[in-house]
Amino acid sequence: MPLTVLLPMVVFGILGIAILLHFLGLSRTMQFNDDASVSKQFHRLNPALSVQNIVKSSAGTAAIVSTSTGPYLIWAFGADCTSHSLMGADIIAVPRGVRVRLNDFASPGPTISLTDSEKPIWLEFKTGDNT
Amino acid sequence: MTDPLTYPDIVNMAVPAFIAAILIELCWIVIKGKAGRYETRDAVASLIMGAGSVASGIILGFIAWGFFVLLWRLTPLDLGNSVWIVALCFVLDDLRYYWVHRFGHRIRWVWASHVNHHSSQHYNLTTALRQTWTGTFTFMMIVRAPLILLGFHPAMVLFVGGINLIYQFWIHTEAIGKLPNWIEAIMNTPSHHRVHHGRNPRYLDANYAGVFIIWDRLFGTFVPEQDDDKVDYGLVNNIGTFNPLRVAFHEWVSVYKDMAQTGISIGQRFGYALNPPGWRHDNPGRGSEALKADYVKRNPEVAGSPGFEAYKP
Repeated sequence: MPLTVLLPMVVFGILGIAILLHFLGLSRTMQFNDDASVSKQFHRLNPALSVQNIVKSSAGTAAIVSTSTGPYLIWAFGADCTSHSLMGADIIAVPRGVRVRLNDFASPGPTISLTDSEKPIWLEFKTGDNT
Repeated sequence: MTDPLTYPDIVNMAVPAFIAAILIELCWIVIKGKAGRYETRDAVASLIMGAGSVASGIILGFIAWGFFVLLWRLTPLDLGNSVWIVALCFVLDDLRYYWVHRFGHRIRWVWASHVNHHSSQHYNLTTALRQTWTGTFTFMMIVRAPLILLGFHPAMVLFVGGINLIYQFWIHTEAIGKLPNWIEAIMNTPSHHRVHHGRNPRYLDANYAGVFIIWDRLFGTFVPEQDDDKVDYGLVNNIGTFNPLRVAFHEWVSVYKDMAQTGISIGQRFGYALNPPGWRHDNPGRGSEALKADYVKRNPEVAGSPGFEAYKP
């Protein structure tokens, strides 16, 4: 197939599918309703770790989970969620919450919406050694 | 020297069918409200990976092709191009695929290329297109060398490889349950391949087949999908990015960081490239076997069941 046909087909195919998915409501981000849902998802992602404490964002898009091996961040990732150790991470205040830099090429880290009262609590985890 | 034997580039020709099938699966899922999940950014990332993989083939394909042509000039054998020879080539190439795929999960250097295909937490037809951009750098074209030295023309070998890739497209779906027993016994199916994409300890390092599941049954890597252990798709340590560049290269970056760290021997550096994913010089026992053993320790009732045959509580 000549590139002059293949290239537009691929580009418009991807664009078309993306637009269709979006308008079908499939761009919605998952939310953690409560600590139990955080715990359930964290256990799914890290079955060998036991949860000691959970600090969930009021927006429900992320939580810091304390475990015996240190704190972890779990956050909404599209329709799913993912988690990462906070060891070696930086947590930086930004106007609408915090930006978490995980220093991992595979997971650069999210920006998390927080209220002004939540922000100081999350910033306490910035060294990654607060269990 | 030019060689007149040519075959159509069927993977590129199949692109319209891929797009149509994705739209049909999407409609099915939306109408039924089950049988799979789609998410915009995940699907777009997969589709861009697919487009990038085709581009990578166009840009770097000459390396593998040059290698195959060199082998073709060296071999005194030529099996011709009859239908039966093409069929035999297809079966043997599928055996080749099984081993390349198995290496892709058990040798980190090859895993660095293949990992992106497993990096989605979804399992739908777009996941099938989440293909590598860096396959050339794994040097796995070497595994095709015996076929060409045996007298299968390089163009035929690539043609049947394309058919293999197209076959594997339709099995990336949750919309199809289990097929009749005789098909499940011989062919790779959506059910068998869902297992392969699972991050559940039971399903790790299983069902490497391309077209024929018989290779897994033969070499002891077959695990059937279990009704009481729903497949959880993705990686043991899931990534947190939809950026195609990060998806394509993240494990290569990780391999480089591990190999370049200070205070380890040359052998240990190569160990990070050649051992299975999860291996560490200070903890060589990590990896899928340790995950399975740990799971059985916490859930002793699963010992001896499919995927845990070799594990005791």
